[in-house]
Amino acid sequence: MVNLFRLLTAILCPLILGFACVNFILKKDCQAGILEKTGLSFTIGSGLLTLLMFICSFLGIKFPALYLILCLFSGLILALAIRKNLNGIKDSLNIFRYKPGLAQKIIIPVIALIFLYFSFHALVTPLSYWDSWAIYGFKAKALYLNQGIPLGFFTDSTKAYAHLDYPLLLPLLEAWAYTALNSWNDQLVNIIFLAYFLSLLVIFYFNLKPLIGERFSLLLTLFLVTIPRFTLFMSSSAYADVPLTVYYFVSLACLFRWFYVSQGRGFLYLSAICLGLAAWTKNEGAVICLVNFFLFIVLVLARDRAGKESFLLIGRCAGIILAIILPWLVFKGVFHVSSYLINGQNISLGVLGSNLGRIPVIFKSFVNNAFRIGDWNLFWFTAAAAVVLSLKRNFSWATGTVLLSLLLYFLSWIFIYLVTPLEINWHLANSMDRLLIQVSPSVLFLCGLFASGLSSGCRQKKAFS
Amino acid sequence: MELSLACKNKAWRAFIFFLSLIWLSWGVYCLGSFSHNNFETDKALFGLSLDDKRALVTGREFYGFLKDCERAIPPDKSLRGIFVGADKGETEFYYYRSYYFLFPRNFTQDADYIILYNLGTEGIPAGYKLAARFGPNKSILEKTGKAGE
Repeated sequence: MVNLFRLLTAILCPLILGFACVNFILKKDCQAGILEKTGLSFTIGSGLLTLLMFICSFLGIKFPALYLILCLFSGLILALAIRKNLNGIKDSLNIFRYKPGLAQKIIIPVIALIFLYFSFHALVTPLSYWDSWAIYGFKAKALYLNQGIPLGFFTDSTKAYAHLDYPLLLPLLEAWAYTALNSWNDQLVNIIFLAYFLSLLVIFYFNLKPLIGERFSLLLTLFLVTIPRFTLFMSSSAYADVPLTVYYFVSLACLFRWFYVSQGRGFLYLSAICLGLAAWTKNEGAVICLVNFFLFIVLVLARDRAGKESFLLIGRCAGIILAIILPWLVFKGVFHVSSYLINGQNISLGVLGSNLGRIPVIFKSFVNNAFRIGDWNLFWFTAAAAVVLSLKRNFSWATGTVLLSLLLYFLSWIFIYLVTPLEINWHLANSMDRLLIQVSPSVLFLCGLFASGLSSGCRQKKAFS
Repeated sequence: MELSLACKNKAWRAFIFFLSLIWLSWGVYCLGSFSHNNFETDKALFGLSLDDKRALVTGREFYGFLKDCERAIPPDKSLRGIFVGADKGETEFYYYRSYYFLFPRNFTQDADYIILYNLGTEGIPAGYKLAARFGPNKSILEKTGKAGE
């Protein structure tokens, strides 16, 4: 029982802290129900918690002390929120008066059953996928046993930590779970990934619902969980690609939401926070950050025209992203931590030119991975058909935003494959699959946008009310 | 306000209906097969202790050896591992898995202890002596501090 209580605090603390942040950022202007806010809360809260752990570690505050402080603080926030918002809580309990239709009565239990079985499968197995224990799990154990970041983490070669240049969101979050459990338990730590997976499903559903209705958004959510490779990976792999997939999708969905809702800037700021957290999760997240920030600039200027307000808004978003990734960049700079993959030696026109022959190999790997029905169901066939058939008829700022983000991200991966010093077939075999997983919720969201029939230039202001 | 689906054409709607049917049937079949194949293993794992679960994932014999090393070697000492696997992949697995479990003991070249797995103790390196033996081809060597001893 004590273990269960401690396990719950590992999830509830970031959830409550995230809820306070999300409520503050969204305020009353942006329409988001309590379930959607809960999904956003864990996503945002877990990332910001790890940032706090990173900074506090260098200020000499050990993880157990931080855990106690944050538990008390979360309890205080919860008590104040309940006292202040008693009416709001009573209103939100209306979800229990929800009367499902036939489609909902079939689809929701199927989604729940799939999620519950894979949760059971994940929670009974200790970390077993290679990177999950060899890279992230190992670092998490080191952080937990040291109750903070060890002094020699970046400089002591005898410590032999793999991939020093990888950001620390996931190892810190796992160390948080170990601290909460008061033991190194690499089995129950899987609950973190289940929380991310559930948050993704909730946010995915609520962002599609205003566009294509409840039944079809539930259907697309069911489509998402019936992609075997996706569901198994998101629930059981314990890779950093799990939070990265969530941050990428949430940043895109929030950006899209802001563009289509006239009031407030809350979703724009949430999108910026998710971009910063993506860069704090994996090095690929830095690419996502750059790609989507470019879209920020395009959309802000498109919506509000180039003016003082627009530039201030872009500046604020840049500030939010920098505030999140700056601590990590500073420490990388101080300790001269560099990437073996992307550095001054790899990135040159000469290297790029000499490796152009890899392009057919890359596309062949993409096709071989994406069109394996046993892993991906009909997903990539359907997505390809949807893009080709709908592009002309349903191209708009909405679909253009998402499509451009995906295309730029794919192009960045092609660039990485062209400059990688690793043997190309080995690199493709170990990463192409994960790239497809990272983009799949966003691709399915794009299919939903095509299905909603949003016509060019049309702003559906009422869609989210 | 709910936006209706773009496609009003009956043929398209029928196509989407059958596509959904195939997608969901295949998806549920694949996930169901996975669940069926893994349910007994998962059920068995459910009743085991954390150590037993780790043993199942790592390999019982190798995990048992790591637990013996954990008991025999103090946490503040350094290690070097010499493993022999069926192939390069298995050897790497033994190396990284032992590093993962035996941490905070660090792996260095000039280590206080050497752990040997699937390897006999013929030709003990200079400066080390046999500290413990846990079975054929599973042993720990300890640094003596004197070369040639």
